[in-house]
Amino acid sequence: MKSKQPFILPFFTIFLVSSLLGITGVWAQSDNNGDRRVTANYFISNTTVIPEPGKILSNYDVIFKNGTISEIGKKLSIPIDAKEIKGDSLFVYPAFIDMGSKYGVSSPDLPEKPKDFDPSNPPSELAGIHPHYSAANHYQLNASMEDEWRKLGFTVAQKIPEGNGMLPGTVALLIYGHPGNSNLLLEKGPLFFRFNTVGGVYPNTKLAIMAKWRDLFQNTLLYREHQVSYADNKSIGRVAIDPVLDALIPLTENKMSLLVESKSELEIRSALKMQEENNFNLILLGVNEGTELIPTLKSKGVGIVLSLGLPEDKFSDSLDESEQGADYDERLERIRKAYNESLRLASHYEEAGIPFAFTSMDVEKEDFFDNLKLMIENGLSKGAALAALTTHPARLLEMEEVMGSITPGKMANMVLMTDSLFSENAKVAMVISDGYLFDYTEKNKKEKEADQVWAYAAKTPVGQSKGTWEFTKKDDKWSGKVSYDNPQGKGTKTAQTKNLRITDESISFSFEVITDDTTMEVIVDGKINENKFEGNMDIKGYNQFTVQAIKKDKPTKKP
Amino acid sequence: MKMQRNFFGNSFDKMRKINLVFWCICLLVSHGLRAQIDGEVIKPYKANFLLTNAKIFTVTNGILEDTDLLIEEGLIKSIGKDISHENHTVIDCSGKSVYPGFIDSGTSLGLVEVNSIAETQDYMELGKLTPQMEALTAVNPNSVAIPVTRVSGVTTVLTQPRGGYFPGTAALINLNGYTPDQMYGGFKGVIMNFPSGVRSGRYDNRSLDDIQKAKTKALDEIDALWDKAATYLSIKNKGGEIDYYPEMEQLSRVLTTELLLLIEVNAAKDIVSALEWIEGRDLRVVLTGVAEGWKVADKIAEAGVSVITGPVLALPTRDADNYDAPYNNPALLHEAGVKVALRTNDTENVRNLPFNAGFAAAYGLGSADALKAITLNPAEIFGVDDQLGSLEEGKNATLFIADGDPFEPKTQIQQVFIDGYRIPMTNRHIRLYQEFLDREMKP
Amino acid sequence: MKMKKLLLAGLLIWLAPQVNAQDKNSGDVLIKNATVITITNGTLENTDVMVRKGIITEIGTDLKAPKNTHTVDASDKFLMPGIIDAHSHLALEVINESSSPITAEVKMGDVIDPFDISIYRALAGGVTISHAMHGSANVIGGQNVTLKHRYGTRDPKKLIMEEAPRTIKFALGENPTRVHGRGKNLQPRSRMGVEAVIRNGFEEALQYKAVWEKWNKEKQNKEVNSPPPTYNSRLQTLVDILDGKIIIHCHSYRADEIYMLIQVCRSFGIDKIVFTHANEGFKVAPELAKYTMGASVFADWWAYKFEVYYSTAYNAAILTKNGVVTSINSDSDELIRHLYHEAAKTQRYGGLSEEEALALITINPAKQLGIDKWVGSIEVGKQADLVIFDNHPLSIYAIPQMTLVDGVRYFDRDNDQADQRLKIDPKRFPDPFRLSTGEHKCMHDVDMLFTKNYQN
Repeated sequence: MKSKQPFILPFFTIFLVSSLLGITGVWAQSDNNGDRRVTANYFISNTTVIPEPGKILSNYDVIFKNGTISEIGKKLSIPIDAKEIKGDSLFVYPAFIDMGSKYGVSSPDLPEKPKDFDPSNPPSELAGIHPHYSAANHYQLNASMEDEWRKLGFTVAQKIPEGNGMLPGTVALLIYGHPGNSNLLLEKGPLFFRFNTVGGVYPNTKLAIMAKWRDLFQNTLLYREHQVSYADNKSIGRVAIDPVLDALIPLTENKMSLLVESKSELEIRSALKMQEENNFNLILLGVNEGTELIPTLKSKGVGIVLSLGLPEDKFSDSLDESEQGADYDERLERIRKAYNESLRLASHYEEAGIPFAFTSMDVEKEDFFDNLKLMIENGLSKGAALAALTTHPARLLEMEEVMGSITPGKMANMVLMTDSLFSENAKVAMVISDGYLFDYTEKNKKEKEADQVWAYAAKTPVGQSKGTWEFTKKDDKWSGKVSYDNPQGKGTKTAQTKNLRITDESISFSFEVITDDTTMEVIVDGKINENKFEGNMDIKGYNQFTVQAIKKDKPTKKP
Repeated sequence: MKMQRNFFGNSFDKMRKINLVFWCICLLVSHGLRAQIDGEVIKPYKANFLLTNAKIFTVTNGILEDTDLLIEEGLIKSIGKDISHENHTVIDCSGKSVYPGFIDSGTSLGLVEVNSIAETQDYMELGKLTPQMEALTAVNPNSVAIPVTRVSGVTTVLTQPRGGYFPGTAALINLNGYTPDQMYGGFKGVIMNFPSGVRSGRYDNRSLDDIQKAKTKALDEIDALWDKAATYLSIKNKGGEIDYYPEMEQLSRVLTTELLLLIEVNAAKDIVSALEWIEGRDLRVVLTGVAEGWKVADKIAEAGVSVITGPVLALPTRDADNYDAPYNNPALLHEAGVKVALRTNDTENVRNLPFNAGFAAAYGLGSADALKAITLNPAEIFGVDDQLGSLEEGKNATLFIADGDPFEPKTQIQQVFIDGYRIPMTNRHIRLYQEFLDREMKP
Repeated sequence: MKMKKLLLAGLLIWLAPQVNAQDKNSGDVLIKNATVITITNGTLENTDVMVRKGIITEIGTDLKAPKNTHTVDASDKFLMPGIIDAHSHLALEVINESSSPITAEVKMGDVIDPFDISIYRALAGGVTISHAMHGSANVIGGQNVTLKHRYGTRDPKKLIMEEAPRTIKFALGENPTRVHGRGKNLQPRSRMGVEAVIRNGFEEALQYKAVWEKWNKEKQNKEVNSPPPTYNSRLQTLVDILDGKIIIHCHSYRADEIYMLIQVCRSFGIDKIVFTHANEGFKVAPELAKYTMGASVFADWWAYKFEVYYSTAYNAAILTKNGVVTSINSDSDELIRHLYHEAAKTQRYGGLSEEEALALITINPAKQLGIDKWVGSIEVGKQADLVIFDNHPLSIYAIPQMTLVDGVRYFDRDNDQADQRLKIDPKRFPDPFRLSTGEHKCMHDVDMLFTKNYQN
C-alpha cells in the first residue's frame, strides 16, 4: 500500500500535464498506440514447463523480470509488479534458435568497378570476398517478418550475410524482441563461407574458390607475422592494411569459427578438406544429405546445422510411362528410398550422438512444423528435435549461459504452446522474447460450441474425480476435450481425446495425463442410456475405476 | 605533248620498254623453260574392270568363293566363275573380298567443312517450316571430307538438313562427281523432327504437365501445317489457282506419297507418340534416330515402320540404362522384326560407319544382318535397291575390294568403285601421311 | 557316424561365411588359362596370373591359388593391362576455371565427383585409369589428377591414384584465344599472345622464387629486414614446373604452336612435357621424339575446328614410327568406352602392329603420366589393373568381360546390372532423357563461344 501512492502520483501528474498541454508523444513515456507494456515483470502461473529436453515440470510457476528468468518453482508467490499469465492449459518450452536465417538481410553495396577492371584479377569485394562486412550492418528490421518467425516459436536468429561470393561476411546474432529496441546480441559471429561465386570474375568456379581460400589463409598468417614483426622492428616497413586479411586473423587463431554453407555431400567433403589443410573451427550450415559422413564429422568435432527443408515427394510419379520397362518398379523404389533417407537424416545424426542445430534457410514458414513432424515420424525423437532448436544451438553459439533452456539467469525467451510440442493440434499461443510478451492466441475466434457436453464423476480410491467431456463433430469426425482434476494439485487440466468413438449406444476414447514423472494413458469405455453414461475408466498400468456421466442440456438459443 | 597513259596508268614511253621486256619473258617461259610441276593427281576413271578370284559378299545371294565380277559401262555386267579377260583391266582379287558399297543412312556430309566455323555450315536454315530446302544442291562436291570418307568403303550417303520442325529435303548421294547432279543417288526425302514430350537433360525442371503441354502445342502447330498442305494439294488437284508456296508444295509431295517422310524421334515415349501420329495417315514413313527404340521395339514392329538408327557408338540415353544399351539397340530392333538401317549421323567421320556396324554385329546383330543394315536395307528404304545394296548383275558397280572383313579396323580397303569409276585411293589424310612419315629435315 | 556328419556340417557352416567373404573387395584373384598380352614381354598363351592384395605376384602355368581365393576361368579369353586414358574429364564437378589465362593454382583433385556414372561405363570399356584434366580454356590451366576407377566409393579421395606424379594442363591455339582474347579482351588473342603469356608466367615465377628464397634465407639467419612476401600459389606452381616437379600436358593442334612450346620449354630447361591432341604432331614428329615425353592423340577426330582441318588419321602411326612415345586418348565420356577400338584404327591408318597399337593405350600413356612403374603392363610386381576380353582386343568383335582395378572386380559383364547409379538425389527430377554422342569435353563450361553442331 505504501508503495503505491508515490508510484501513482508522479505518473498522474505527468499525464495531467501532458493532457493539458495537448501534447502526446513528446514525452518518451507516452504511448498513443498502446504498444507499450505496463510492466517488464511477468508470472506464468500453474503451467507445464519443459525447461530442457527430457524434463517435464508440472504445475510450475515461472517468474521473469526485465528480460531475464528469475525463478521457476512450485507455488511461488506472484510479485506485486508482475503481470500474470495463466498457464493452466499451456506448455512452456525454451524458445527456438535459428542457426541460419537470411530473412531481412540485404545485399551489400559494392564499390564501383574501377576503370582498369580486370576480371581475372578483380578487387576483393567485386569478387565476392568481403569477410569484413557484417550482416548486422545490412539487416533491415521488418517487424512483420520478424513476427511471422516469432509466431513459429523463434526468438533468436543468426543472420547470414548476403553475397554471391565465397566470403560474404560475418554472421550477426539477433533477437526478435520489441521492435523499438536494439536487438543485436552479437555483431561479429562466425565467418560465413559458401561455395558460390559472383560470376564473370576470378574466382568463377569451385576450383578457384578452393585455391583462393588456400592463398587467403596463408597470406593471413603472413600478414599477421608482418604485423607482429613490425611492432618490434620498424625497419621492415609498415603493414598495408587489408580489411579482408584483418577479418580472417581471428579464424587462423581459432578465435572464430568458419560457418560453411554445405548443400551437398561433396561440399561437406570440400569443407572437411579445407579444414584438414588449415586448422580452424568448422561449422557446417544447411546439411541435407551425406549419412556416410557422420562418423567422420563426429570424430572431427565439426559443428552441424541441419537444414529444415525436405525434398518434395512428387518425384515418384515423374517417371515416364516409357519407363514402364522391366525395371520400372526398381527405379521407382530407388527414388522412394532416397526420399525416405533424406527424411531420416536428422535421426541418423541423433543416433550418432551429434548435437546438431537447425537452420531455416531452405524451408518455407508454412512447412516448418510439418517438416519437423515428418522427421519425427522418421526416427527423430521429439527430445532431439527440441534440443536441436534450443540447447544445441545455444552451445554452438557459445551462448549457453544466457539461452537455450528455461533456467534462472538466462534470457526470458520462451514459447507457450496449447499442447505438447509436435502433437497434432498444438499451436503457439504466446511467445516471450527478450522478456516481451507476444500473444498469438486466437481470441476472437469463436470457440465452436461442443455438440455434446457430459459431466462425469469417477470413483477413485482418493475420492471422486470430476470433470467434463466435450465432444464436437466436424465433417463426420468426432473430436473431444476432457477436463479432469489435476492429480498433483489444485485446478483442472484438459486433454484432447484420442480414438473417440461415439454411437447412440456407446462412447469410448482415451486421453493422456501428463505428470512430473510419467505420462499415463487413460481409456474410457461405456454404454449410453438416454442421457446417462455408465462405464469404466482404465488408467493403464494402474487401476480401473467406474465412471458415470450425465449429458448436459445444450443451452437453447434465445429467440 | 600530252603524256599518254596506258591501262596501268604508267607513262606510255616507259611502259613500252617494260611491256616489251615483259612479253619477251612470257614467250621464253611458255616455249622453252616449262614450269616444273611435281606430283600427278590421280583422278577417278571409268573402264571395264574384271575382278578375278574374289570372295564375293553378294548380300542377296550368299557368299561366293573364288568368283569373278565384271564391271562394264558403270554396271555389274556379270558375276561368275572364269569370266573371260578379253581386254578388260584385270584386278587379281585372290585372297580378297568384294563388298557392295556401304550406305550411310544419315549424315550431313558435304554440307559443312569446319563445324566450329559458322560460315562453313550449310545444313541449317532459319525457320521452323523449311521442307523445301534442298540438301542436294548445297552439297560441296569438293569437300575435303568426301575423299576421306569413300576410301573406307562408304560409297553412298544420305545427306540431310537439320533444325526446326521441317529442316528440309535430304538427298542420297554417291561420293563421286564434280557436281551434285553427278553425285545424285536417286532418292530424296523430307525430314520432320517430331516434338519431344520427355524431360530432356539435367537442367530441364519443367513439370511433366508443362512438358506435355509444350509438346502438344508443337504437335498442333505441325498438324496445322499438314492440314494446310492438304488443302493446298486438294486445290491443286482440282486444278484451282494457287499462289507460289514452296513449303506447301514440298509437303504436298509427301502427302501424295511421292516423297518419303523421315521422322526424327528418339525417346521411347516420343516414338510411341510418333507411331500413333502416323497411324491413319496414308504416308510413306521411316523413323530415324530411334535411340530408345529397343524399349518399344514391339510397337515399332507392329506398326510395320522401318528404322534408321545410329550412331551405335553413342552414350546410353539415361543414367540408369545399361551401359551397352546403344550397342544393343539395332539387334533388339531387328529381333522384334523391324527393318534396321544404320547411320553415323556424322559430318567428317562418316568413315566410321563400318565400325558402327561392327559394334552392332558384336552386340547381338551378327555380321550378316549388320552388313545388310548398311547395304540392302537402306537401298530398299530409299527405293534404290534396283541399283544399289547388293552385288547382282545389272546393279551399279558401286563396290570395293578389301583384304579382309571391312568391319575390322586392321583390314585395308584396297580399291573402291563408284558407278564403275575406279576411285583414287587417296585423300588429304593419306597425302599428309606420305609426306610426313619420314620428314627429311630433322632437328 | 552321426557325430561325423554333425562335425562335417559344423565345419561347412564355419567355412561358409569365409567362402562368401571372397567378394569383389578382396584384391586377391587367380586368373587362369588366358592369352596374356603383357605388352612389355610379348603374348603368352594359356597362362595364369596370380594377384595378391592387388599386386601381380606370379605369371606362369598351373598356378595354384591359396584357399578362398576367387578364381576366374579365362580359357579362350584375352587378358591385357587395364586401359589408361591420358586425356579425360570424367568424374569432375567442374572442368574449366576460365576467368584467367593462367590458373595453375587450381587443382582438379578438389572437384572429383565419385558419383559420375561415366566411371562405370569406362570400366565397362576396360579403362582402369583416367587422367582427369582441367579444360582447355586457359593457356595454363589447373593441376590434373590421375584417377583409378574404383567405382562405388562416395569418398573422392579414394579415386585418386596416390603414386601418380603431379601434372598440369596447358592449352594453345583457338581455345584460349577465343575464351580470353575474343571473349574478354584479355591477352592472348593470337598464337603470338599465347607464347607471351607463357613466357610472362615463367619469368614472373622465377622472380617470385628469388624473392622467397631471399626472405627465407633472411629468416633462417634471423636477419629479417624485409616484410614477408605475398604467398601466391599460382606462381608457386609455376616454380614447381620449372623445378621439374610437374609434368606438363599441353593441349595443342598446330605444328607451329607445338614447335613453339618445345622451344620455350627448352629455353627454361623443362623436359617433362607431353603434347595432347597434337593433331599436327606428325609434322614435327622428330622434334617431339627428341625433346618431349611424347604425344597423346585422337584416333581420327578432325575438322571440327579450323586448327584440326589439316589433320590425318595416320597421326599416331607416323609419330610411333618416328620414335615418339604415343598414346591414344578420348577427351570424351563416349570415346573412353571403346579406346581398344580407337587403338585398333592405327592398324588401318598406318599399319601399326598389334604390339604397337596396344602400347598406345597401356604402357605409353602410363609413361606419359609418370606411372609406368606401377601400371601399363602385366609384370610381376605391378598393380593388378587388368581387363579380360572375349576376343582379341583389337578386333571389332571384342567385348570386355571383366575389369579389375587393384585386383578388385569392378566390372563383370556376366553380373552387370542396368542401374549402376550410386546416388539418387531426391531434390532432382529422376533420370532425364539425354541424347549425346560424346562432346569434346575440353571446352565444357565455355562452349557457348563455339557454334553448336546439330541443333535439332
